[in-house]
Amino acid sequence: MSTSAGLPRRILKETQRLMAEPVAGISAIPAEDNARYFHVEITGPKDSPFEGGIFKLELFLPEEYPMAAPKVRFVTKIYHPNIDKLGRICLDILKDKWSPALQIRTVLLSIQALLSAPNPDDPLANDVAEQWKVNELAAINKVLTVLDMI
Amino acid sequence: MPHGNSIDSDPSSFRKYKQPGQLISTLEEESPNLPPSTHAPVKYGELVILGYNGCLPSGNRGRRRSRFILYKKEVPNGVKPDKRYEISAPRSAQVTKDNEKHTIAYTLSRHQTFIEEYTTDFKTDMFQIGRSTEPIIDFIVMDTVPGAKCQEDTVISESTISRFACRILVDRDPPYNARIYAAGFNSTSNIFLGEKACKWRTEQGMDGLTTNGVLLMRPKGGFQATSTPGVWREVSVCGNVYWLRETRSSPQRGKLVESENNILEDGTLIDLCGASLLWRSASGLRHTPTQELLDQLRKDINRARPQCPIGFNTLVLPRNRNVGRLLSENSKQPYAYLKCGHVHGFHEWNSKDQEGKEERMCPMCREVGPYEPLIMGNEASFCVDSEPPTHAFCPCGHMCSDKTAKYWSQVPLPHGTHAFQAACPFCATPLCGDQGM
Repeated sequence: MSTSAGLPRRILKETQRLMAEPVAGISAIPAEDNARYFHVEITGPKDSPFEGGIFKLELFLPEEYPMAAPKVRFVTKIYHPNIDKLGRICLDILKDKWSPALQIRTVLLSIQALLSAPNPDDPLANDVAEQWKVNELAAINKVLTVLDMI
Repeated sequence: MPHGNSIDSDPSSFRKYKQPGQLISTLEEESPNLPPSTHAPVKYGELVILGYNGCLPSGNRGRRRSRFILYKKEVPNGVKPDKRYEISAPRSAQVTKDNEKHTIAYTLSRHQTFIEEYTTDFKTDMFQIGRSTEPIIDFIVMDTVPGAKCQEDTVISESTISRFACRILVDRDPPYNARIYAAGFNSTSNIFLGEKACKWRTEQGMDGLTTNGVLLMRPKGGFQATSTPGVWREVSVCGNVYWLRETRSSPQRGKLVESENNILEDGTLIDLCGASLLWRSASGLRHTPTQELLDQLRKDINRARPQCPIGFNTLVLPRNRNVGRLLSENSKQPYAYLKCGHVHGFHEWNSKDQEGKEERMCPMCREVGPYEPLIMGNEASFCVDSEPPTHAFCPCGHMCSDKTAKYWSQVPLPHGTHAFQAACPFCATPLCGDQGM
């Protein structure tokens, strides 16, 4: 990696391990010009409304990482009560529940789990959450529409 | 979630660690306490002061050391009671002036003194212990300062240890029974029990207790993994065993315990009020790990290359505390959250919120607790078995085997005038936590 000079050991090791032992359904590849910026793809979890979809995300490790959480955002448009139109994610471990013992891997696993189990009781996108609570089937149909699958 | 370093968290005063961490520095040089003769010396046993990790902060030299080995003397120097009589005060001064003759003088009144004369006993060797630096003391013991890391830390203004605290007489023939007695003979070979001392008449003559007393505790089942602490007793000047006094230096003696004697058994603790000593018999020591083995166990842990779950750097469990290297992010020093037992390298996450507090939140489990460097417990004589150092004491972080940690966490050590508390044997810091006595 040409841009790895000056990177903390922690980031180097994490990246190496992500490449060597990728998580099923998740790929995270550092950008060629910035070792702190990752192109992420998460496949929609099986038996979830998002099954069959491929979701692109961007993940950035700030200067303070791992003392501060990585910044993660959906690039692919998604209809989800905990993800807003700009792709921002409502997930406690990305905010006040961050701990340096968490890693890129664990963050992406948590996001994958969020796709399996949307939490309309702690919404970021209020309209989506409302729809989810009132008529889950309709909401799921909307998911598929956004995914261009129906 | 993949956890780097996890632990069994049992709610107690010590914790188990799966991954602690290379040799940073070697033990301080010490001059060994050598046997009097070089050909096949008989080792009776050793006395180890609780609260030192293999060495005094100033090093082990001569009669000032953390561990004292009792070897058979070239010439027997034991004494046994001989004549007993009562004399008037002026004459008693004359009797006790004779340096050759060992005497115990019980002052009955301003005019009357009871004298017990002692004579040479060729069947025993005598070892004297106390704070005095006079040549008559074989093993000089100063007050233990819990958690003292350097010589300056050990200076205290007032000592509670007697200058001539106690004496041990060991049979020169097998099984080399060692008997302990309160009070030691001074440089003029006398023991004085003043007018106000706790003393009384016996069938043979008189007996008494020293001001702060000498307490004994014999563990049940000897000194091994299955042992449990026994009951603390007080030993008299003549070697009889009593219940404890109501308070440490009360003028009223405890009840005589006729079924018990003053013979030291492997693991017996001796409390001199200010320092506690562990007696290890020569036969008991054969089952104790060597210093080399302890270091091997420590290296085995390091060979597994335990890793900090945050910095992903390899941690190395050091043999000794190395203050200069502790507070650095690049340090290999393992730290543990003592409440949950998670081991990390040094880091400052969440330390701002907690500034000024000694407690921090563990990044692995969010449990808030003390955060301390882990240090190897090096004094082999404190170990009840030869298992790997998987546990550490709270709050000091000294590491030892599971059973050793459990044993010491259950041993109540005399503290103050009538209280007891468990303490880390390697630094004497009182233990905290649910099981911390």
